[in-house]
Amino acid sequence: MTAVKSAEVLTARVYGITYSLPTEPGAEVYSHGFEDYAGTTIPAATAYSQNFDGFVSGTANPDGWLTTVTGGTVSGNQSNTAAFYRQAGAGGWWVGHSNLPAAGSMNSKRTVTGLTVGRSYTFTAYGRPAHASLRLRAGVTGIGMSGQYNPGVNTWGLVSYSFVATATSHELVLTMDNTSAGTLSASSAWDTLTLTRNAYIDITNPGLGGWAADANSKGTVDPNAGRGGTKGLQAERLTGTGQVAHTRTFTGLLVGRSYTLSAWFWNWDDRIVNAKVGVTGKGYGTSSDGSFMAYAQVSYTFTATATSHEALLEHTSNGTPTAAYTVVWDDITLTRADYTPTLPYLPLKVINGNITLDSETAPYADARVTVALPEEDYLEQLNPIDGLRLQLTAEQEWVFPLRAPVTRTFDLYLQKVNAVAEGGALELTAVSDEALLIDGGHLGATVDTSAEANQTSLRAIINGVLSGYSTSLEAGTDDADFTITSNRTNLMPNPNVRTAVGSWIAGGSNGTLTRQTGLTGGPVPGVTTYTRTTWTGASGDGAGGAFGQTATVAPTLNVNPNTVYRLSVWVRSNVAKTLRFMTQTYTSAGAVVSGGDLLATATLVANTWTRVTGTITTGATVGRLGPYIYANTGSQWASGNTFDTLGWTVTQTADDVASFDGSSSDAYYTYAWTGTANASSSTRTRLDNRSPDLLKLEPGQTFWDFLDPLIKSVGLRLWCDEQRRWYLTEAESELEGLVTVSEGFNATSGTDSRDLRSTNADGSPINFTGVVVRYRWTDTAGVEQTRYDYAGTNRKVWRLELDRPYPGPGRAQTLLNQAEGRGRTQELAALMDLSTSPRMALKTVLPGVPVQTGRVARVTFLFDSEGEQHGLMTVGSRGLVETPANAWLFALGDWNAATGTWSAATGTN
Amino acid sequence: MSTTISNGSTTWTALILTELEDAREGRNVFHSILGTNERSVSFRPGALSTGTFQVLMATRALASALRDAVADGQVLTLDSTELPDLNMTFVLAGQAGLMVHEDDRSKWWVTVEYEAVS
Repeated sequence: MTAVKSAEVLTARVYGITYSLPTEPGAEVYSHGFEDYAGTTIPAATAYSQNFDGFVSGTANPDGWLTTVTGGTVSGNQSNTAAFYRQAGAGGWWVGHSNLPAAGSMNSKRTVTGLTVGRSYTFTAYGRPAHASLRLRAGVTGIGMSGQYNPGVNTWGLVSYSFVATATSHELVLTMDNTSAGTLSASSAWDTLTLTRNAYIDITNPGLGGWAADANSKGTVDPNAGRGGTKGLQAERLTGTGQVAHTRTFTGLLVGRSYTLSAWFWNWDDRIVNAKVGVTGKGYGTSSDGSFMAYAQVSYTFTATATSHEALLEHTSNGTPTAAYTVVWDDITLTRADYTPTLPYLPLKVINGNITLDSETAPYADARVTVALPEEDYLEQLNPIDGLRLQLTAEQEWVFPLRAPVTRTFDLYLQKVNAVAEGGALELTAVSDEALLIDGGHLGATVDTSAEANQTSLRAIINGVLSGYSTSLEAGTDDADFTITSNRTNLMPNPNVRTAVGSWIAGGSNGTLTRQTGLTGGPVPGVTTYTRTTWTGASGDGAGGAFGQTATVAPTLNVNPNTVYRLSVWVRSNVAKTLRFMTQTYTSAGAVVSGGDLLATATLVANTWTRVTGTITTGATVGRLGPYIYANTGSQWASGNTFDTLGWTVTQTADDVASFDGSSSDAYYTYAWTGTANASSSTRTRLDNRSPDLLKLEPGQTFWDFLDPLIKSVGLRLWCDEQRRWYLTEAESELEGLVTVSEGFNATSGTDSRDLRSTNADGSPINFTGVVVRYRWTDTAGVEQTRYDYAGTNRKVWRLELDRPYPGPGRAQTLLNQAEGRGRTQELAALMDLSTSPRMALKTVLPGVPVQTGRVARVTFLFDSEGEQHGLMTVGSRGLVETPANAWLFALGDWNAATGTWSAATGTN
Repeated sequence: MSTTISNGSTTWTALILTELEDAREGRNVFHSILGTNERSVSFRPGALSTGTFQVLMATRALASALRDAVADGQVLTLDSTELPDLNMTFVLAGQAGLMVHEDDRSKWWVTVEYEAVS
């Protein structure tokens, strides 16, 4: 029976290279030439006719025609068969009038029915005016009349009027107008009246192809104006001037693809038409006027941002008549461009690969993968100097026993690309992101001291570096303080008036300096006393504050000539005030050299402690200093003002030294008075012996070389997991989870060794009982320095030599801790379990070896498309301890701390 | 019924296609577990098919040209309506040989030991 059935797959992608998939050819998704327009011509038809041949002479109002005149008399409205009244046929219609006034008209009217609204009709009639001043007209009531016409006295002439029926019945009108200056009487005639419904085209398919005119426009297919065929879209303005627009919505577009809308247009009358095509919400292509009586093409290319877009055909009608600005559109196409989809990574085919996670090395993750050669273009781009990333995805599916599939992704920094000599394959090496710090460093000409700002927190120092890679440490509590310490002497006697006011005086006028106690939350740790000067009147211009000695006491602060001194003090006042920080200088014999040298000025915010500091280089004859701080020149204190000082510091250094005296106390120094407490200079002496240059990043120094000594000296480890998460943890930190490698279960091979001579790949011994770390470096003064750090016993000693500033003791102990438990190491091969990680608890059961428990030091997952190691993992151990089978470690259940028992101690496994 | 073999630029048309053998190698890997006679298995995709086919060409010149193309280290495509199951992209995995037709001496067989590549 087969124990385990599973399938393991490893896939590889290189990010930083864009991979082009096969091009998807473009296509013309729409084409329309308006050629599907179709219509049937309906011939003209007679809607009404009358030739009066059927009437006998004397029939009044023949066929319903009624005649009226204004201001005169109708003298005749009868049918008549006499030749005089016949234009043709056997009969005619006599109309006559008496006394038709000047400019008067005789109107004959008849209503016709059965008309079709919207259709065009033409009304014609022959008239025979009996006087030279008569004029003939034909028309329709409420619509219009033809122009006046006189064919000649007693001569037949044809008048005609065309109109569009607006109702199913209209009143036809025949008129004779008197154009003479006087009244007129005459007998005239009409004959052969015809109302013809004109021929029209019955459109069975408008052929617009979905193009619709907007509210101001009109678009019809012109069957005789096409470009490629015979038809085109005639676009014109309904009324007035302005834009003429047609729209059509295209659906089924592919988002992100490029489309080109293209159309041809005919400039009818050589006008400026600004023809253009576009897409609503996106824009237009270049407009064109084309050429007179010729077709020109305009187009617009856009990227679809939705599956449907509204396309536009537009031109401008800038004048009347609108017909002059008509444009005929034709052969409109929408074409989708070729598209080459891309992947943001280069996919690679894995032939085999090993992925190692090791808690004792940096980088933590190391993958070696052999892949099939990619296409040549991409082979050239596979260059690690470009900062490429190799993402490996390992998947494990289980058939028996049935378990949830496991996927683990390794996001690594590509380090090496080797072409295999036999060809056809590439060997890739990629590691976790520690390599970024191992490779990257300080590029500049000056020392980078920015880490010194974070000297109290190793985490902050590391995050300062990681911020350059837009990342930071995962949350954690492991940290270390690398405060830079230095031995210093504060020359100022009684700097905090801890026990007495001593020689301090107010100076100026109306001020009294006293010693105050009970300060809480003061600016100098441990100092609760301070000087206070209180004024009862004006202090005098630029005078008053705190003065280091009474006028009768020569300054006792002895200094060297030609030397830099730093003077500092914390001050507070109950009003905003500008101060001047000064010092007097004297010879050693007490002669005044300078009555006041300005060190600094400071502007105080009321009731806020402010540190004022400055330096002075003493003159050649100077032997004593006398510092004081006063109101600045041009200002003075007033009655009720108070002014406080403490933390006076005078050091023979240029650097700013935090206030201290012989009674100070903290974790970094021992403090002492050199003479009488609070009446002598005081010293601080370092408790550590770290190099003061430790936090200086030299030009060209790598970030890892900078950080590594710091981290290891405090027993911590900086590492980045395969998901690019950075951790600062104890070097021996533990990870939840138990990995069991056992015979009869999953172990395929194993070695158990106890070897005093075995070494790591770099030649360092695996086992030792004592270790010495030698630090050697050149300090900022150019002096070569050497320091040693050691731990353990001397039975087997290893010396590690490092060319770095001494970070203080600790690294030797860390190395020794890591070596412990290596007395017995096991290298195991087992069926792959992708959830295995270093630091997890490890239990091993091998033939002939007592059960061991410890930690996983490293794990390597093996993938191979053809080899026998596929689907296995190798596990390295550390800290193995022989463990009885009934040890509590193997107990099932949970430990109850309150009762000191196992809550469900159901047995051992 | 037609059978063609193409290298993308040249296409040869065969008179007859005959399949002689075809096999796929399994790549599952078995692991022996310490302390037990049970074995575990890791499944892997099997290899693509390998085998031998013969095509009959109308002339020796055609047969020779096809043989040389197959032997020339390139990917070829077999497309047949005669044996559509055999359609594939392949490379030469062993020998490409010529043999005269047993009855019609003007026609020649080309025998190809292939390995499918997709």
